[in-house]
Amino acid sequence: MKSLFIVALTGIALAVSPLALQAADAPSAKPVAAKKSMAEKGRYHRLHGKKEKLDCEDCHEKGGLPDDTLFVRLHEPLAKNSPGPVSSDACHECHGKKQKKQVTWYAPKLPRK
Amino acid sequence: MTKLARLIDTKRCMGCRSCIAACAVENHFTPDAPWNVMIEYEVGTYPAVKKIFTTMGCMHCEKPACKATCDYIGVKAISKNEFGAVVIDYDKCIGCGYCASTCPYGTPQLNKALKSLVPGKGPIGEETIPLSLRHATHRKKKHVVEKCSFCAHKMAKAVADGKVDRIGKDQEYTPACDLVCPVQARLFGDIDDPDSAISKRIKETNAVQLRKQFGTSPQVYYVLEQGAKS
Repeated sequence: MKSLFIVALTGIALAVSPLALQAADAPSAKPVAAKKSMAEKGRYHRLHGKKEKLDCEDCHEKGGLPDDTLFVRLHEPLAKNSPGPVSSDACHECHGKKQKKQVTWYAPKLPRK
Repeated sequence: MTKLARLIDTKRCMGCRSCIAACAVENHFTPDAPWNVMIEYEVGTYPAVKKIFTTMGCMHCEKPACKATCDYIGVKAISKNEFGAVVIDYDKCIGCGYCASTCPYGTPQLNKALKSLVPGKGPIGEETIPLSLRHATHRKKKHVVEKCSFCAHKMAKAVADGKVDRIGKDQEYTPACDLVCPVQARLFGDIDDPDSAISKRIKETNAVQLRKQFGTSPQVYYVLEQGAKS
C-alpha cells in the first residue's frame, strides 16, 4: 500500500513538473499588470501624480519635444486634452543610475566589445 | 554565438526614407504605429548649416528597458531571441503601454487599430497572407504593442534553411530596411564576429550608441555627422 502511494506520488510529480516549467515562462494567470495602464486614471498616473505629487508639467512638455529629440514616437499624435508628450529624459532624471528612485530597467551599461 | 547589430551612417544618409518604405511593406505596420521613423533637424548657424537625418527603430538593447518593465509587472511578453533581437509576443501583451513609457528611444508602439498600409484599398502585399501562415511577429492584433523585430521572420527562415551564416549577406535573410538604402548608409551583421563587415566598420568609423546614459546597451550603432545629437 505504501509503495503504491509512493509510485502514485512520483507519477503526479512527473506529470506536473513540465507544467510548472511552462508556467514560469508563461504570463501569470492573473497578471500583476491587469489593472495597470497609462490612462489618466490608471495606476501609472496615480503613482506619479497622487502618490509622488508630481505636477503634469514635471513630466509632460507643454510645448512639445524639440525636433532633435531622438525619440521614435516624436511625432505621435497626442490624446485629446493631453498636457504634451513626455521625454524619456524626464524619466531618467528621477529613475536613472545613482538617482534616488533608480529602477532596474535603466541598468548600468555593459562594456562595449 | 551570433549577435546581430545594425550600423546607421548619418554622414551618408540623405533622408530619402527608402528604409521606412521598405519596412512598411515588409512588416505592413500601421501608419499610426510605425516601426521605423526619420528624425530630422538642422544644426549649425547660417551660412554653415546642415540637416541631420537620423532613422530610428528598435535599438534591440542588450539590457532592454521594455523587457525589464514587462517582466517586472508579470506579463513577460517581451523576450530576446537567439540573435539578440527584442521581440514581442502579441498573445501575451496586455497593451498596458509600460514598455513604451520606459523605452529611452520611445520605440514600442501601441497599435490602437489595425489598418491597411493603403487605407481604403484593402490589404496589399504581405497583408494578403493568411494570419495562420504568417510569422508570429506579423500576426498583429489591435491594442497590443509592436515594433521593429530586426525582421525576425527572415531570421527564422535563415534558421529553417540552415543559412544562419548568410544573415546580413543574402537578401532573403537580411532586414528589408538594410537592403534598400541607395547610399549604403545601413549595414547589418554579426558583431560577435570581429571579422564581419559591421564589426570592422564600427571600429573604423568610431560608431556610437545613442542615449548611452540609460545604460541599456543598444545593438544599433550610429556614425554621427558633425553636430549630430547622440
